[in-house]
Amino acid sequence: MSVPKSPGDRAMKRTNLMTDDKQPKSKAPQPPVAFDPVEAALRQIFDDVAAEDIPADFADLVAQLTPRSNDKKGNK
Amino acid sequence: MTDPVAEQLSPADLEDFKAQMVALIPALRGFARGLCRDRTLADDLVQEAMMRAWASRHTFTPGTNFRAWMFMILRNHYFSGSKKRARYTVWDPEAAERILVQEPTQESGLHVDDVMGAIHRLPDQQREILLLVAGAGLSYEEAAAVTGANIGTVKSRLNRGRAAVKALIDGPNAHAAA
Repeated sequence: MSVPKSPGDRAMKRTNLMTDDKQPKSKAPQPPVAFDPVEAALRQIFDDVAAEDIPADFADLVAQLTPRSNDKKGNK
Repeated sequence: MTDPVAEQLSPADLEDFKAQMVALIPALRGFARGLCRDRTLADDLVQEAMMRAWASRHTFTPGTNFRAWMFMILRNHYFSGSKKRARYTVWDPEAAERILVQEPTQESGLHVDDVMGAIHRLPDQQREILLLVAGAGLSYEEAAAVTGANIGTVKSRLNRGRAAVKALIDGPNAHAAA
């Protein structure tokens, strides 16, 4: 699976193509990873949900999942 | 009556399937809550998705992306049900255009309630991508598989969704400060 390239990565690759290969690439400045407050808040929301106790009816449901329980019992 | 599913999957496969599903419960609950903004309804949604997944387990190919498959079942179940519930928020493109031209004034420290409130004012397509990628941590590829969109569309919706949330939150603050 390929990792999506950021515009910064592509820009860096173009820059390297135009410079001398003998130059040490490690000196190239790395762009800072931007902090996104919306993503941080969303991650916090999911983390909060994950930290909650899972209701007991989930355990009941999982216990009912047997090879013969193909019917959708929750259909309303 | 015979059970064709049980004949296809070994007991070990069934246990593995169940274990993977259980491991995803927290993330599925977060996604469902983000979609419907109602704890009880969200948990019902997750449980219904789990039952649907179990009933359709013979259609899942082992070795493929189980997480994306589960999120897709939940997502499709929500949107098919939401048409009946008619709980959509009406999105006004002209109003959105006015909102999005405002520059965000806050760099960090958004309140999660404000973010959740803003997310529920987004179009469904942007909201689900924000929840999947930024919230549940799915990759672009996984989010594309869940929603049926291509990766470019996922990235575009994510960026537009993020910008819209920031603008929705910062808009009133900027207005009040003026």
